[in-house]
Amino acid sequence: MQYSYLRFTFILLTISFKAPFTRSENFICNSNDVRSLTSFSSSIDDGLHWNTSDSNCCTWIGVTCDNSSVSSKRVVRLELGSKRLKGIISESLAGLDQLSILNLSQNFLHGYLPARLLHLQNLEIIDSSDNDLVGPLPGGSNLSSIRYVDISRNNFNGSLDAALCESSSYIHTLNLGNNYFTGEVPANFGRCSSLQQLFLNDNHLSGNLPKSLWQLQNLRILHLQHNLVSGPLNDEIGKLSNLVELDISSNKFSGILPDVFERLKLENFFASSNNFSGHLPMSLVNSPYILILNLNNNTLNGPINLNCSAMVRLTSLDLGSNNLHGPLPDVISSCQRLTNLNLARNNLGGEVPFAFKNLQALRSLSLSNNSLVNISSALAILQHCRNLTSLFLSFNFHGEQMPRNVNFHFRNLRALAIPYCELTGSIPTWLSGSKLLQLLDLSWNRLCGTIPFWFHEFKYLFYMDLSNNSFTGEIPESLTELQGLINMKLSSEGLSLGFPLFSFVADGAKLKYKGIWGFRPTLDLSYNKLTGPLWPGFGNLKELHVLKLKENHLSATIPDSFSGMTNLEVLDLSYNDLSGEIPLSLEKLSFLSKFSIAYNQLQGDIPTGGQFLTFPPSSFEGNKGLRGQQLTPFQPQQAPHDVQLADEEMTIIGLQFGVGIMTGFLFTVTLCFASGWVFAKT
Amino acid sequence: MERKVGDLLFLWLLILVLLLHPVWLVLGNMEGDALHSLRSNLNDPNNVLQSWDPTLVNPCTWFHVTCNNDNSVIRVDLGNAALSGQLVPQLGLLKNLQYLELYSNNISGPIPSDLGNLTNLVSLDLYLNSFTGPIPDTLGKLSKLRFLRLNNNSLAGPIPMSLTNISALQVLDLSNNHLSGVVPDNGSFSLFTPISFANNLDLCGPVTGHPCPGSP
Repeated sequence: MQYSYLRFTFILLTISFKAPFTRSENFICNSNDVRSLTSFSSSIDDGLHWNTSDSNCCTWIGVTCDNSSVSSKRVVRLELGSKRLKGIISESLAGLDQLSILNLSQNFLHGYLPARLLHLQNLEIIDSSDNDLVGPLPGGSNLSSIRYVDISRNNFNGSLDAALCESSSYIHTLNLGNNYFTGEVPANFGRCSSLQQLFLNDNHLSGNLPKSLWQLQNLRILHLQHNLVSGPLNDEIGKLSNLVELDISSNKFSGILPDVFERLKLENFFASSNNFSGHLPMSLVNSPYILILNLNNNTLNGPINLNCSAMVRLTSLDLGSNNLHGPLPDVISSCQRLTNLNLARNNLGGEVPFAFKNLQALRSLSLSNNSLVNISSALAILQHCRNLTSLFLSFNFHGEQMPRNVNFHFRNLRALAIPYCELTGSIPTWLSGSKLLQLLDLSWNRLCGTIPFWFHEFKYLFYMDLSNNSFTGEIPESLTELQGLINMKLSSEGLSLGFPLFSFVADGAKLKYKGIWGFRPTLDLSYNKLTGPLWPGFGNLKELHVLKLKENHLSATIPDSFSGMTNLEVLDLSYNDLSGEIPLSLEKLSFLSKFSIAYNQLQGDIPTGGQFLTFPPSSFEGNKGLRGQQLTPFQPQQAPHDVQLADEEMTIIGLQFGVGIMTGFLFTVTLCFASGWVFAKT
Repeated sequence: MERKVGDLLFLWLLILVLLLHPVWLVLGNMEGDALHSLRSNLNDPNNVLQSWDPTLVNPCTWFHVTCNNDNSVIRVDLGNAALSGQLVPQLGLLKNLQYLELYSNNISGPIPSDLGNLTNLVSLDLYLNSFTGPIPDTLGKLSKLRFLRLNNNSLAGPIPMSLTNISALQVLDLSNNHLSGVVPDNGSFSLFTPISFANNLDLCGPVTGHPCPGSP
């Protein structure tokens, strides 16, 4: 997508050099143009501040006239992007017969795109993206000069029509993405022979792709992602010798991947979330051009037979959520430019190969859900990957011990997730060397001992999940000094992973994040055996959004200072031994949307100001001494369908997953359900 | 043993059917678009809406937005967030919304009549803002509404009679506005006292202490 903007800018530049325009005030606009613009402005309800009584329209905001004629000036550009325009696009614009650039993008325009606009002989660029335009595409266009058309991010519907590009021999970019187009991709797209970039993504297109599409010899970028297109990917795609980027992810393609990649110069290939099966094609795993390969969430099988001596440019490889089988190949370590590697949710098994220590460019690695063994060896090897910033190892190393009395160095590590491994032992001291840590997830293990005092040395830590372990002792008071939760700006740049992250809620709803910065700043210590008080210093954590301490043995009162956590959205203190009253100051927490103090020893009145009336009775139940109208609610026809705090556990389990993650999850459920049957066999 | 295998299969199928239910996909996008147009119409000096990224599949990971288990929005909690600008009609598309908390901001313009489409709404808290224009008659369609707090704005015109039909209404505060006309005392309004209507332009009726002209 960035390509298209670059190209757009480039076109703008070339045009402005080609014909120098002036905003001359000495000349008078062509009267027809003034009429067209005045009529256009009367159909805009808001956002356009033209003084239409001034007949020199060349000085109006967004209007550019040419300099060619002495008598009167002609409008050649109308550029009104991001002006918060409301209203409809008047057909009168079609009267601007010298118009070459029309930019109405990023406004609130509704109604139809007037068909007459698509007959402007001089129009080179039309951008009406990001509006609320509706209706089918007008047919029968005659845009003989058009080069660039972008009507993406609107509400266009109906079947697709290639008329926009058929009539022009110059058009290089057609963007119809993010609309509601239905039906098949029509065969006449094959006649848009000058097209270099075609975006049909994020629509409801279905059926097979027409073979004629593979005749577009100039095509460089094709985006078809997020549609319902089915059938195999035709061998003839090998004819597209200029194709650089192909995104067909999230469709219903099936069959094997065509073994034609030796004929392509493809750099970026995205085909995740389809039904592709079979082995990785030999021409693909030998491609010297590929930079990014994403085949996540298909049903590919066979070994990972990458030829890294041929794949010299490979930087990002995502083969997660397939049926690829192990062992983890040594040869991957020869892909010296590899920065992102996701092999989660396959059937790899075994240990991390010793050669992985040579992956010196590697920044993000996920090997989650692969039944790997020997966590000590895995960490001992991976610590040599000096650029490693994100490491996701969930659902592996079942029941092993967290290596402790060793001296691992993960100096650049920013995200570490090893949940759901039933690891024993305690939090290892070597972790304290990872001073850049921003996200730590060790939930759903069997770790015990105390939470170490040195966590406050993680200046950038803003997400920590240690829930569902057996930690004992007090919450370290030093957690109230976490700089990343006191002043977010300290935490510098966002961490790009090269692949999306997922978390899931126990009942199966899944949430997708683009990177760890999408996560709400969180401290989750719930479901442990922690004792002692709630530190008043928690009030310092102004940037904390989620504080979960439920199901521990915490005692004493809720400090008044908790109202200092001004960004708090979730506060769960349920199932502890807290006493005293609910501080009235908590009414100040205006973003608080989930709150529970159920099953404690609290007493007194429940506050009624701020957010408090919006919390359900279950937030307060199990406290004998509490009084308040929330406990005896007026019941409308049915109880509110709230997300119940008690049922929810959120844990990062890493990376792209689709069906694969569900399989992992179901497998666990099944194990628990039928453990008698499973273990009887062994 | 065979029965157990059967049980297993059934469990897998059941869970798969539940997981593959496609409702949330469609809902999520539309609701994200609706909230994103709200963001476009608000000024947000403290960047509390920074995480509202419309390119995500749904708005459930956005800060200050809460979804139910079907990934449909049930809460928007933006009280005291220093927001100004206006609301958008698209808010009416959040079919499962229960709590709309926008109190203590500087939001201006009218209350969109489309809010009457939010039939699951339990709490509409728009107090302490700068809303103008009338209270939409359509709010009477909010049959589950328990909290309606529109106090401390610049709302004008009459109190819609339709509000008396909301039998669930527990808390009503319309004070400190420019409302005029008759204060109803029938239906759910029989619960409320003068404090709910205090300091308006020209309200009359038994509950205000000012009898309406022409009344007995």
